[in-house]
Amino acid sequence: MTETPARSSDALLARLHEGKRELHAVQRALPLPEKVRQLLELQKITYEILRSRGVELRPWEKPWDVEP
Amino acid sequence: MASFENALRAVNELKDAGIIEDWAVAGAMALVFWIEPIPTFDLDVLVLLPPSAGPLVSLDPIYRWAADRGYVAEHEHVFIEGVPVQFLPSFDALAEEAIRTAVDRQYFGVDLRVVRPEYLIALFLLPSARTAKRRERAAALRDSPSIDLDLLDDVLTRFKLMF
Repeated sequence: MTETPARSSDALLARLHEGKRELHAVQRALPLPEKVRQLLELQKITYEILRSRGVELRPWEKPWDVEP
Repeated sequence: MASFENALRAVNELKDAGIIEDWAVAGAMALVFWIEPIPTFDLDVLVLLPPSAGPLVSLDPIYRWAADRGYVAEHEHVFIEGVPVQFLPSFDALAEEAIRTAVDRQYFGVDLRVVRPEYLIALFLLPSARTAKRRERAAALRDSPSIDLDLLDDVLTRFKLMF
Protein backbone atom coordinates (compact mmCIF):
# COMPACT_ATOMS: atom_id res chain seq x y z
CA MET A 1 0.00 0.00 0.00
CA THR A 2 1.40 3.39 -0.91
CA GLU A 3 0.91 6.35 1.34
CA THR A 4 -0.09 9.68 -0.11
CA PRO A 5 2.48 12.31 0.88
CA ALA A 6 1.18 15.30 2.80
CA ARG A 7 0.39 18.19 0.49
CA SER A 8 0.06 21.91 1.00
CA SER A 9 -3.45 23.22 1.03
CA ASP A 10 -4.50 25.87 -1.48
CA ALA A 11 -4.82 28.32 1.41
CA LEU A 12 -1.26 27.69 2.55
CA LEU A 13 0.08 28.07 -0.99
CA ALA A 14 -1.84 31.30 -1.43
CA ARG A 15 -0.35 32.66 1.81
CA LEU A 16 3.15 31.68 0.74
CA HIS A 17 2.73 33.34 -2.64
CA GLU A 18 1.36 36.46 -1.01
CA GLY A 19 4.35 36.53 1.36
CA LYS A 20 6.68 36.28 -1.61
CA ARG A 21 4.88 39.11 -3.41
CA GLU A 22 5.22 41.26 -0.29
CA LEU A 23 8.93 40.49 0.01
CA HIS A 24 9.51 41.49 -3.62
CA ALA A 25 7.52 44.69 -3.08
CA VAL A 26 9.70 45.59 -0.09
CA GLN A 27 12.87 44.85 -2.09
CA ARG A 28 11.67 46.95 -5.01
CA ALA A 29 10.95 49.89 -2.75
CA LEU A 30 14.40 50.01 -1.14
CA PRO A 31 16.43 53.19 -1.65
CA LEU A 32 18.82 52.99 -4.57
CA PRO A 33 22.03 53.11 -2.49
CA GLU A 34 20.77 50.16 -0.45
CA LYS A 35 20.03 48.23 -3.64
CA VAL A 36 23.54 48.96 -4.92
CA ARG A 37 24.96 47.84 -1.56
CA GLN A 38 23.00 44.59 -1.94
CA LEU A 39 24.28 44.21 -5.48
CA LEU A 40 27.87 44.48 -4.24
CA GLU A 41 27.16 41.74 -1.68
CA LEU A 42 25.51 39.58 -4.34
CA GLN A 43 28.62 39.96 -6.50
CA LYS A 44 30.80 38.53 -3.71
CA ILE A 45 28.45 35.59 -3.12
CA THR A 46 28.03 34.84 -6.83
CA TYR A 47 31.75 35.12 -7.46
CA GLU A 48 32.56 32.56 -4.76
CA ILE A 49 29.90 30.17 -6.04
CA LEU A 50 31.12 30.43 -9.62
CA ARG A 51 34.75 29.96 -8.56
CA SER A 52 33.95 26.95 -6.39
CA ARG A 53 32.18 25.38 -9.38
CA GLY A 54 35.28 25.92 -11.47
CA VAL A 55 33.51 28.28 -13.86
CA GLU A 56 36.02 30.09 -16.03
CA LEU A 57 35.47 33.77 -15.37
CA ARG A 58 36.45 36.63 -17.61
CA PRO A 59 38.83 39.23 -16.11
CA TRP A 60 36.05 41.71 -15.37
CA GLU A 61 33.78 39.14 -13.75
CA LYS A 62 34.68 39.82 -10.17
CA PRO A 63 33.24 41.83 -7.30
CA TRP A 64 33.69 45.58 -7.62
CA ASP A 65 36.01 47.07 -5.04
CA VAL A 66 33.93 50.19 -4.72
CA GLU A 67 31.71 52.06 -2.30
CA PRO A 68 28.03 52.20 -3.25
CA MET B 1 38.08 54.99 -2.73
CA ALA B 2 36.37 54.25 -6.03
CA SER B 3 32.61 54.42 -5.98
CA PHE B 4 29.64 53.67 -8.16
CA GLU B 5 28.66 57.29 -7.74
CA ASN B 6 31.96 58.50 -9.17
CA ALA B 7 31.71 56.05 -12.06
CA LEU B 8 28.36 57.60 -13.02
CA ARG B 9 29.82 61.07 -12.62
CA ALA B 10 32.67 60.13 -14.96
CA VAL B 11 30.29 58.78 -17.61
CA ASN B 12 28.46 62.11 -17.49
CA GLU B 13 31.73 63.82 -18.40
CA LEU B 14 31.59 62.03 -21.75
CA LYS B 15 28.35 63.79 -22.55
CA ASP B 16 29.56 67.14 -21.23
CA ALA B 17 32.63 66.81 -23.45
CA GLY B 18 30.46 66.06 -26.49
CA ILE B 19 32.03 62.64 -27.00
CA ILE B 20 28.61 61.07 -26.72
CA GLU B 21 25.26 62.67 -27.41
CA ASP B 22 23.35 60.84 -24.74
CA TRP B 23 23.52 57.73 -22.61
CA ALA B 24 21.38 55.48 -20.46
CA VAL B 25 22.00 52.62 -18.08
CA ALA B 26 20.81 49.33 -19.60
CA GLY B 27 21.33 45.63 -19.01
CA ALA B 28 21.15 43.89 -15.66
CA MET B 29 22.27 47.00 -13.77
CA ALA B 30 19.17 48.85 -14.97
CA LEU B 31 17.03 46.29 -13.19
CA VAL B 32 18.30 47.67 -9.89
CA PHE B 33 16.44 50.88 -10.70
CA TRP B 34 13.15 49.16 -11.53
CA ILE B 35 12.95 45.97 -9.52
CA GLU B 36 15.47 44.21 -7.32
CA PRO B 37 19.22 43.85 -7.54
CA ILE B 38 20.43 40.80 -9.39
CA PRO B 39 24.06 39.74 -9.57
CA THR B 40 25.93 41.35 -12.43
CA PHE B 41 29.57 42.24 -12.84
CA ASP B 42 29.39 45.10 -15.29
CA LEU B 43 27.56 48.28 -16.11
CA ASP B 44 26.05 48.41 -19.58
CA VAL B 45 25.79 51.92 -20.94
CA LEU B 46 23.86 52.47 -24.14
CA VAL B 47 25.26 55.49 -25.94
CA LEU B 48 24.15 57.70 -28.77
CA LEU B 49 27.24 58.80 -30.63
CA PRO B 50 27.38 62.15 -32.41
CA PRO B 51 26.71 61.98 -36.14
CA SER B 52 29.87 61.05 -38.01
CA ALA B 53 30.98 61.59 -41.57
CA GLY B 54 31.55 57.93 -42.30
CA PRO B 55 29.34 54.90 -41.92
CA LEU B 56 31.64 53.18 -39.43
CA VAL B 57 30.92 53.54 -35.74
CA SER B 58 34.00 53.98 -33.61
CA LEU B 59 34.43 53.92 -29.87
CA ASP B 60 37.92 55.35 -30.20
CA PRO B 61 36.99 58.78 -28.78
CA ILE B 62 35.64 57.05 -25.67
CA TYR B 63 38.77 54.96 -25.29
CA ARG B 64 40.98 58.04 -25.77
CA TRP B 65 38.97 59.89 -23.12
CA ALA B 66 39.38 56.89 -20.79
CA ALA B 67 43.14 56.66 -21.39
CA ASP B 68 43.55 60.38 -20.71
CA ARG B 69 42.01 59.82 -17.28
CA GLY B 70 43.96 56.70 -16.51
CA TYR B 71 40.99 54.37 -16.90
CA VAL B 72 42.10 50.99 -18.18
CA ALA B 73 40.34 49.41 -21.15
CA GLU B 74 40.40 45.64 -21.02
CA HIS B 75 38.71 43.55 -23.67
CA GLU B 76 35.30 45.10 -24.16
CA HIS B 77 35.21 47.02 -20.87
CA VAL B 78 36.59 50.26 -19.54
CA PHE B 79 37.31 50.25 -15.81
CA ILE B 80 35.93 53.54 -14.56
CA GLU B 81 36.34 54.25 -10.86
CA GLY B 82 36.51 50.50 -10.20
CA VAL B 83 33.43 49.67 -12.28
CA PRO B 84 33.78 47.72 -15.53
CA VAL B 85 31.69 49.69 -17.99
CA GLN B 86 30.67 48.39 -21.39
CA PHE B 87 29.73 51.11 -23.84
CA LEU B 88 27.20 49.90 -26.36
CA PRO B 89 26.69 52.28 -29.26
CA SER B 90 23.08 52.47 -30.37
CA PHE B 91 22.73 49.68 -32.92
CA ASP B 92 19.20 50.10 -34.26
CA ALA B 93 15.97 52.08 -33.98
CA LEU B 94 14.96 50.24 -30.81
CA ALA B 95 18.20 51.06 -29.00
CA GLU B 96 17.97 54.67 -30.15
CA GLU B 97 14.40 54.95 -28.89
CA ALA B 98 15.42 53.27 -25.62
CA ILE B 99 18.01 55.98 -25.03
CA ARG B 100 15.81 58.88 -26.11
CA THR B 101 12.93 57.76 -23.87
CA ALA B 102 15.13 56.88 -20.88
CA VAL B 103 14.07 58.23 -17.50
CA ASP B 104 16.06 60.82 -15.57
CA ARG B 105 17.22 59.70 -12.16
CA GLN B 106 19.69 60.87 -9.56
CA TYR B 107 22.16 58.87 -7.55
CA PHE B 108 23.72 60.78 -4.65
CA GLY B 109 23.06 63.93 -6.61
CA VAL B 110 24.55 62.61 -9.85
CA ASP B 111 22.25 62.83 -12.86
CA LEU B 112 21.81 59.70 -14.87
CA ARG B 113 19.37 58.17 -17.28
CA VAL B 114 17.93 54.69 -17.10
CA VAL B 115 16.28 52.76 -19.92
CA ARG B 116 12.57 52.35 -19.23
CA PRO B 117 11.54 48.82 -18.24
CA GLU B 118 9.38 48.38 -21.36
CA TYR B 119 12.42 49.01 -23.55
CA LEU B 120 14.66 46.87 -21.37
CA ILE B 121 12.26 43.98 -21.95
CA ALA B 122 12.39 44.60 -25.70
CA LEU B 123 16.20 44.72 -25.64
CA PHE B 124 16.34 41.48 -23.62
CA LEU B 125 14.07 39.81 -26.19
CA LEU B 126 16.07 40.79 -29.27
CA PRO B 127 16.95 37.61 -31.15
CA SER B 128 20.65 38.52 -31.06
CA ALA B 129 20.58 38.94 -27.26
CA ARG B 130 18.01 36.35 -26.32
CA THR B 131 19.22 33.90 -23.67
CA ALA B 132 17.37 32.04 -20.94
CA LYS B 133 18.80 34.48 -18.41
CA ARG B 134 17.61 37.52 -20.33
CA ARG B 135 14.15 36.03 -20.93
CA GLU B 136 13.94 35.49 -17.18
CA ARG B 137 14.88 39.14 -16.56
CA ALA B 138 12.31 40.27 -19.11
CA ALA B 139 9.65 38.21 -17.33
CA ALA B 140 10.59 39.65 -13.94
CA LEU B 141 10.25 43.17 -15.33
CA ARG B 142 6.93 42.40 -17.01
CA ASP B 143 5.51 41.24 -13.68
CA SER B 144 6.57 44.41 -11.87
CA PRO B 145 4.07 47.18 -11.14
CA SER B 146 6.28 49.77 -12.81
CA ILE B 147 5.41 48.40 -16.24
CA ASP B 148 3.14 50.29 -18.62
CA LEU B 149 1.55 47.32 -20.38
CA ASP B 150 0.16 49.42 -23.24
CA LEU B 151 3.61 50.86 -23.94
CA LEU B 152 5.16 47.40 -23.67
CA ASP B 153 2.65 46.02 -26.16
CA ASP B 154 3.31 48.93 -28.51
CA VAL B 155 7.09 48.52 -28.36
CA LEU B 156 7.01 44.75 -28.80
CA THR B 157 4.56 45.03 -31.71
CA ARG B 158 6.48 47.76 -33.53
CA PHE B 159 9.78 45.95 -33.18
CA LYS B 160 8.26 42.53 -33.87
CA LEU B 161 9.36 40.96 -30.62
CA MET B 162 7.66 38.42 -28.41
CA PHE B 163 8.23 36.49 -25.21
